Amino acid sequence: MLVSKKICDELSDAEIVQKALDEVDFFSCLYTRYEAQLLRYISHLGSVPAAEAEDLLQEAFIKVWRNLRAFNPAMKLSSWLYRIVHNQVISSLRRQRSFGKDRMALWKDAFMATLPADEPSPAEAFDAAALTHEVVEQLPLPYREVLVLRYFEQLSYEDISDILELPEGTVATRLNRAKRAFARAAAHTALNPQNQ
Amino acid sequence: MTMSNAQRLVERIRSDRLKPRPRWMFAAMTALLRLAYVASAALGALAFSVVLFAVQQAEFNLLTHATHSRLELFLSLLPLAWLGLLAVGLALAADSARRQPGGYKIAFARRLLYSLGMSAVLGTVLFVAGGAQVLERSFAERVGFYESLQEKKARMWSQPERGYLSGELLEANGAQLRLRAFDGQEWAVRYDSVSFIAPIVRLLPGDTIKIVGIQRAERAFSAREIRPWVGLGRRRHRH
Repeated sequence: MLVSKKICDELSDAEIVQKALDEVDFFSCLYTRYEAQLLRYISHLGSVPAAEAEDLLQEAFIKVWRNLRAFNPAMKLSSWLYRIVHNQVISSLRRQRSFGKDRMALWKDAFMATLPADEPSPAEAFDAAALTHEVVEQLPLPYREVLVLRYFEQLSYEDISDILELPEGTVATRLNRAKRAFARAAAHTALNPQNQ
Repeated sequence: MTMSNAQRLVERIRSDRLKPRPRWMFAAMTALLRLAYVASAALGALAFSVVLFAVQQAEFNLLTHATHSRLELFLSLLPLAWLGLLAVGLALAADSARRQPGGYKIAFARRLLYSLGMSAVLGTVLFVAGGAQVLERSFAERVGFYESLQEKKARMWSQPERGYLSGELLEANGAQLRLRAFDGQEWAVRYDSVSFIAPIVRLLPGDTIKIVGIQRAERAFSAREIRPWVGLGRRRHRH
């Protein structure tokens, strides 16, 4: 029997972890709480279809469960979850070398799935987002991951440092280089106002 | 009714009987990582102490003409094996520091600096305690291809044509010395009132000495400086 949303909402992350160690049903609170944002992260980082993103998240959460006692309360639980999900996506990307055959089509599906059902999907919004994503996609993974974490996930340098296990200074440097690489890659696309 | 993803996850955990790994496993892993760091720093410290010992033994200031250039001298006396070991120890220590809880927050250069600092402090203690000499000697005895610091030093100080001679003093007769070089050949060595003789040198038969001077003829040498074989106050006489 899963724990009700009301009870989950009343608990902090640390309390959920403690309770989950006694009763596995409480682990669902954690999944429910972070499911949407982690699925979005997976789709941004890996351009995977929704079903595959869910599978990746399930696998990542199995790892979270197995390593629940390794969680260091000095760190944000969300950062720890992002780290495990990140590693899961990266190893999945490495396994699937043929992954990028039609990544835009896959990402388009993922993007559409994130739009609210009652609002029409504005073509312009999609075009700009898709183009941005396409440019980000061309960047090397170290640049892509910092850009996604900083600008798509809106995370702080400290959080990114915890997720990627890098010093904050390195995150800042890499982010600067990533922005320059993005600007160079975007210069010949419609994202550049001069090309419109 | 379809199952939510959260339900699916909990069902899978239950059906596969998955349990969180015990806390002791993570504690053991952390302890192992700490041990790896200490071991790496210790390796660096051992190497550092021998490098110090090598620098002390090299006496670069006396060997200015032993080679074509200072660089050649430096490279010929450099304890490359130990410097390599020091580099390996530092790299391992810096890497294992990253794997400590929260270690990734420290930049690589700083981790390397901390490791160097730790190896330098421990290595200096070991060197002062005399451990470096013991370590270097036992290494030279056990590793066939390794040229010990003493062998290197003997090689550098066995170049009479360049003004460097060393060996065991056989006889001292006034300003005339009879010396058996490390290659077994006997030399007649002459010195005079302007020659520098280190106060520690007693010129007794059995002493091992090194001499800076000029080769005058076959097996004949004029000394400008006479010093004990083991420099910097570490006397060792053979009787």
